[in-house]
Amino acid sequence: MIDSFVQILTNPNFYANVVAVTPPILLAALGCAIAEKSNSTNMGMEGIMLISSLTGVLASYYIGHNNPWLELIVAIAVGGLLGYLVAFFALKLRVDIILVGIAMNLLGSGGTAFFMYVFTGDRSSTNSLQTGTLPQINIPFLQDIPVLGRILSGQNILTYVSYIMIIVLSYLVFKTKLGLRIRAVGENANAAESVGISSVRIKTIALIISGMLGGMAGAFMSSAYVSYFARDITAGRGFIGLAACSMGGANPVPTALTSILFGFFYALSNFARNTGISDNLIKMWPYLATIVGVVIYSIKKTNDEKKRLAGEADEIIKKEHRHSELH
Amino acid sequence: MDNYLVMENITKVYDNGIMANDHVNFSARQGEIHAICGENGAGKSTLMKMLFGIEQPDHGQIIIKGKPVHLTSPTKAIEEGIGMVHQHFMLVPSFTVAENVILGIEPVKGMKFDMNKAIEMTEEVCKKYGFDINPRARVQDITVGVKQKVEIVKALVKGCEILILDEPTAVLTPQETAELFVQLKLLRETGHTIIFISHKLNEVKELCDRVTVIRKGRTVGVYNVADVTEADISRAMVGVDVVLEIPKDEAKPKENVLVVKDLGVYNDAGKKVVKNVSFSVREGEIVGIAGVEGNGQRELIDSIAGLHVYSEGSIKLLGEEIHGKSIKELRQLGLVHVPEDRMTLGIAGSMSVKDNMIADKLDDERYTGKILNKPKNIKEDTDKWIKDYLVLCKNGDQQVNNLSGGNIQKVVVAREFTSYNRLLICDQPTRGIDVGASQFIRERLVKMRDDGKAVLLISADLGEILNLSDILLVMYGGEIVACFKDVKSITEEELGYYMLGIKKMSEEEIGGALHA
Repeated sequence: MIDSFVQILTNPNFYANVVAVTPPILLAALGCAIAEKSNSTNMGMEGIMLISSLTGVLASYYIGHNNPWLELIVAIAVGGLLGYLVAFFALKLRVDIILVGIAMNLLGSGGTAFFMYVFTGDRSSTNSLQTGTLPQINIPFLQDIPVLGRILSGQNILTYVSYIMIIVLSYLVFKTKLGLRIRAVGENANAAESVGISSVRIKTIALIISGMLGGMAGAFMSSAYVSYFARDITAGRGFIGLAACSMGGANPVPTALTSILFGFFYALSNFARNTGISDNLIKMWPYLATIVGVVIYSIKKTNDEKKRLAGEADEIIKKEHRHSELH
Repeated sequence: MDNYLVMENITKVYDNGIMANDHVNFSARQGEIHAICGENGAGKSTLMKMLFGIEQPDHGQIIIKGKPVHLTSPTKAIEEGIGMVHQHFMLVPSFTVAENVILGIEPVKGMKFDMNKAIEMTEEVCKKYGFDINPRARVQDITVGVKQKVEIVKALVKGCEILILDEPTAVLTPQETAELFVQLKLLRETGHTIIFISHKLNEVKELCDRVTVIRKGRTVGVYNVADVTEADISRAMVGVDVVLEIPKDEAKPKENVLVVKDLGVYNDAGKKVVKNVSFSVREGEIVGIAGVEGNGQRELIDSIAGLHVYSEGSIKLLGEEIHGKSIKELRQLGLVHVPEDRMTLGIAGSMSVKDNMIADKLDDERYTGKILNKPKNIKEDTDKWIKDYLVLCKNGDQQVNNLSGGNIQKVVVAREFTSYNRLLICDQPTRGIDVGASQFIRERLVKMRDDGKAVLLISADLGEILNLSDILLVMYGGEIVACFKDVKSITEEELGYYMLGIKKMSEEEIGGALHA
């Protein structure tokens, strides 16, 4: 069995698969991160992905002549709209944002299954509506490099876009006026309000961007991963994205790296089918990895916090001593 | 220019019916430092909130440079050239000084936030007004004194001409305070108007040109600081109120119930706020603690009530050290507590009167069996308490939230006074409630005393504390500065001197608070 794992880990196709399966997790995680930066948890990422994915497929089939590009644009727009909806309920109507997210997830799972049946008469997938996939891109020069070419070239265009999103999000969060305001609102909303920045407005914008990224992740599932929508096609990737965002401290680059780690386990579960391990067990790996990851992260964070507090207490005591020496 | 800033006949009534400002008049000249003095709850903060657009007045108008303005939001106020440094800093800790300063008016270059320009803008203001701050430093790494400077720069960079400082020295060391004053005087020279809210009269005397005194929501007067003494200002602040005296006999104190010795307490920010406090409370006496809010009473009381951890000295309740004891254990020893913040700590608002009254007695076999409650006994006793304590409600099942402030307080008092008790801590027991309920609660307190209970009373109402206390302690700067054993002979004016830190008794006299 060890042999077969060595075989997997030395196979360039395995790494190409890591690159190919990471994007939906990555996009979901980045979406959660931008919302989290404004101190609003977008718990409903999974639901947003599902709804925008199905809407994209239907729009593409019924009005777009099976154009996957239209599918992508519609999915992003619907995602943004759903992000706004979360903001509307949570910030305007003051429903607990976690509850809004849970509602979004339930609606996403049940609602997409229902409407898929209404439109296609099929309960499991929209296989009858073939809307095609976005093109794969061969990158000149890179494709000629052995191993690396096989891993990085020839991926779906949306895959490349999603990795570029890491840079775009980093730039947005750390280099723009909007990013500055998002971080200010997230860290001390009172401070932002006191200089005339509306925290509701900023959070709404962050949630819309979050929803758009979720829409892109949804479109990836049905226009890059496969060419149709299937019931619960996202299979928890929205939640894994949420976990990756939390482990990455909602900062784009660490969040992306965590997403790639989870992508690694997805690919591993894809390739381990022939190792003789039970299929059901293998399918569990990405989720198991998420739980283990989050637990390790929480322990580390708690310890750091303890250390920090201990350090602060020392500082206070030192200060008092200095103070009493002065008098 | 005497009418540079005019607030005319400002009246503000809050939703709960409290009249915070009652036809207040305030005016400031260009280029002066103008103090607003008044006790807590006098209405200073409300007045300033209206000037900064956080609250809107119900009546009256605000005129700046002869032009009436409507300040409906802080943004509007900032546009009119008003800046405010809040008591709690409005800063983003992980941001640099420059980022904090330009938040809200961020310079951009194309799509990008222009960090260099932000630093430039910050440096420019710092240079112009003589602030020594590194714009690249992170706010979480700088001291409180520097943070305050950042707040001032933040206002100045937005072109503020009228700067409001809400008790700016409360968090500063004496050195930082001195430095701040130099800077404020510099700003005055450049034509800025500074409104300085404080109740530290020595600071007002040192820094300000004029002072407006507010008492109970009304303007008492405007004085040139040079023409008045600290004593004059304190007299205007404290005033004399007529209260209905509760008749009471001479106290007959017996054994010590509470003994506090050399107590030292740090607040959450790590600042030592209670210093070397010693006193005792005996059976059958009421010990009052007076003092301007923020002089350590809060932490002292919380420490005794088990809500705050103390690090130095000892607190003994009936001979037992209370450090590390849970609140339940303290209550079993006989401590009951009528907290200041009755809505948060005193009641569970959505629960019924009955449930609130019984909440602390559920270990009593009279009210609970092994598994189920005994509703008949609960109802019988709570109905009796409702009657005894004159709680005005439909019946015991009415939600506490629906009662008036005075009746809510009676529910709290009824619960606490009907529990097993040896020491009663009453923190502002009549604040904000009607005269009738206040009178009733005061009478009850005296009755508990006559029944041999030890009572520790904290109150901002001087009339009340002078009337009820058998021994009166005064706290200032975290210390006990006065111990009066003959409360009847104290005048409010004299009490005011101690509360404002102008006078202090000798160690020996203060030591009299502790009975061996």
